[in-house]
Amino acid sequence: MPVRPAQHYSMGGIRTNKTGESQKLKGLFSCGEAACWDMHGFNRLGGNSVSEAVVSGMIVGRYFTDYCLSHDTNIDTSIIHDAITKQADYIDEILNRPEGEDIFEIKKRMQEIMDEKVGIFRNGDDLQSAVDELQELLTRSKKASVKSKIKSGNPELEEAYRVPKMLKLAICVAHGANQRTESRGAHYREDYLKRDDANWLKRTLTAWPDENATLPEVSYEEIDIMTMELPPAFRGYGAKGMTIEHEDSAKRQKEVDEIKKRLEKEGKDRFEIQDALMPYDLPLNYKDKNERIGVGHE
Amino acid sequence: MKIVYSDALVIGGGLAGLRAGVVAQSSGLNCIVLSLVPVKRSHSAAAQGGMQASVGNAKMSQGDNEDLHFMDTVKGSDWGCDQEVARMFVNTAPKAIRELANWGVPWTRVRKGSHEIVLDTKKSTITESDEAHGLITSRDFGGTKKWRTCYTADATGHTMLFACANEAIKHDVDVRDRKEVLSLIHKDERCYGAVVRDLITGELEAYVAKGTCISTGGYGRLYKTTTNAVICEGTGQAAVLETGVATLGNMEAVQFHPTPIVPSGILLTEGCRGDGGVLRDIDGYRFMPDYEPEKKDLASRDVVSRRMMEHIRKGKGVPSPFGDHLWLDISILGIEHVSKNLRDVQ
Repeated sequence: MPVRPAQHYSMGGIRTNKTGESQKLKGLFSCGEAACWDMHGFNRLGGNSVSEAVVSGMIVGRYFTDYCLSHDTNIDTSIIHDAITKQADYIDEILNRPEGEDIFEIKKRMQEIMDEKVGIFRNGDDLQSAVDELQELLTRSKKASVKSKIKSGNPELEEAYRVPKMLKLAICVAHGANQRTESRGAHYREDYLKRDDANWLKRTLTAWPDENATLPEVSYEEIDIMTMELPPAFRGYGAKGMTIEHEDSAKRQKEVDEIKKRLEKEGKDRFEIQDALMPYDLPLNYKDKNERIGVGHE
Repeated sequence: MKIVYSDALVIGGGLAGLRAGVVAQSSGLNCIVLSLVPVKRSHSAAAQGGMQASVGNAKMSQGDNEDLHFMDTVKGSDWGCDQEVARMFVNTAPKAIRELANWGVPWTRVRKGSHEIVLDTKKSTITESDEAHGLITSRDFGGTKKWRTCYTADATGHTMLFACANEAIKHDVDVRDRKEVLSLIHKDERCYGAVVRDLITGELEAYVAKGTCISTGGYGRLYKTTTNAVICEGTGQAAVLETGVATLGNMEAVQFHPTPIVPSGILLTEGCRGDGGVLRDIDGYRFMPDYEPEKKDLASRDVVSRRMMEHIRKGKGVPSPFGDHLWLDISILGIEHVSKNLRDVQ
């Protein structure tokens, strides 16, 4: 069967904390592929996507439910009214635009840019030109006109309000990739071939505070090696010797080894050792041990 | 102005959203799930090969546990993941598998006795024990130490999605389809629901709730060639981004799957290689062992995808009107195996 690699999965998404709640907006949760909960980092293993979907539905669904059970809806209807009016006005504005850009052309171009310049192999020049052109497309998309003025069942209208949103995401992808001068997981820079734990062991966060801007605000969230159960090392596949080590990696590995050795000597089981290395919480009975054939709950 | 009030609002009716909806509704909340399409047509249904959970029943899965699943997940993520979240996930996954079995997912099971398998292009025999007979079995997948991927032939996402959707119906979750989120309603760093467009009437409605959960899937349609359905346009993430307050994480982390079919982009499951299929080049040569001596065709997806493109760049691709490609060879698995465990591929 003829095959060639193509886009498949989005590890990135709505940044949440461990309970699945947005770090910035209370009462907003996210789970499944939409979220960056972040169990996949820079590459997801096959079989872990539907698994995450249902497992995060259980865990985040529980925290989400607890939030809904312990909070009231106390919002002024004028705020709701303003939110609807803003969207209604936006749709009217699109419908009333004079003849302008073709939204289908803009979308097609965006998808070509993403394939050609923000794909499997990435480099600074291509990424910069992708960011530049995507910004132009975003500006142009706001002048897209719609031939049919009907408000329902109008695919061109739907593209006219969706494509600018998609372009903002595309810019987040391309801009984030351009800033990240290392190769990690699925993000592969031909001009920065190594995984750079010393400088890039961090999550990219993007926000879009100014709705008229054409670039997001980028900040970073550090990932602390000293709290890891499994400090950074070679993955066991892919090219060897392609890591710029962080000084904490060896330090933490030594710590982990010592804790393991000490607790094993004390006769602790693997659950107690795990808990000593990196404690974590789960709701309901999800933290209970799983039973397996031949070994019981060991 | 139409305002719909509920206790819990879930936007996105795929596997994750429906499962979260079941939690909310069965806890006594009035939960509404909104979906672009009838929920059983969500993209979750397109997942073929399986669901990872360390049940450890089959011969090739023995010795598996949460610790190995955790290590594989962290290595796969290239240390980019949140390790606590990975731990939360691996400990819950076996429970999820069993719960889904209870909800009607017909997981493929272990059959006692000897079975022929293909390992490293050679036929070999494994013998399943009598005690394991009838328990949930697993197949091999990329980047895993043990055979850990539970499956229902190659329609795993389909059976999981239908089971969850039926469970949602059973609990009277208020599922409303052909609804698209346009923006989130928020004030003083709290979210109160969403402005939603009805895709049939074009009418705008406000859905106001105590909490809002977004489970709208990925943003694969930003790309021209993708395995994602046309509904995977990232509109959920965009609504969050446009609040100007909430953040998106690691948007540049985009996965490329090694084996979508050329030119349609429809996926051929990783189960093809997991079950013993191999990649070949223009000369019919199996090239992956040269690049990845240990994991061969079953290194992680990012690695296999890059090695394939590297090999094509060396001029070893097969020319076609749709660009150079490589071959995925499952003929060695035999017609019986293919028509039973890889039906969609067939």
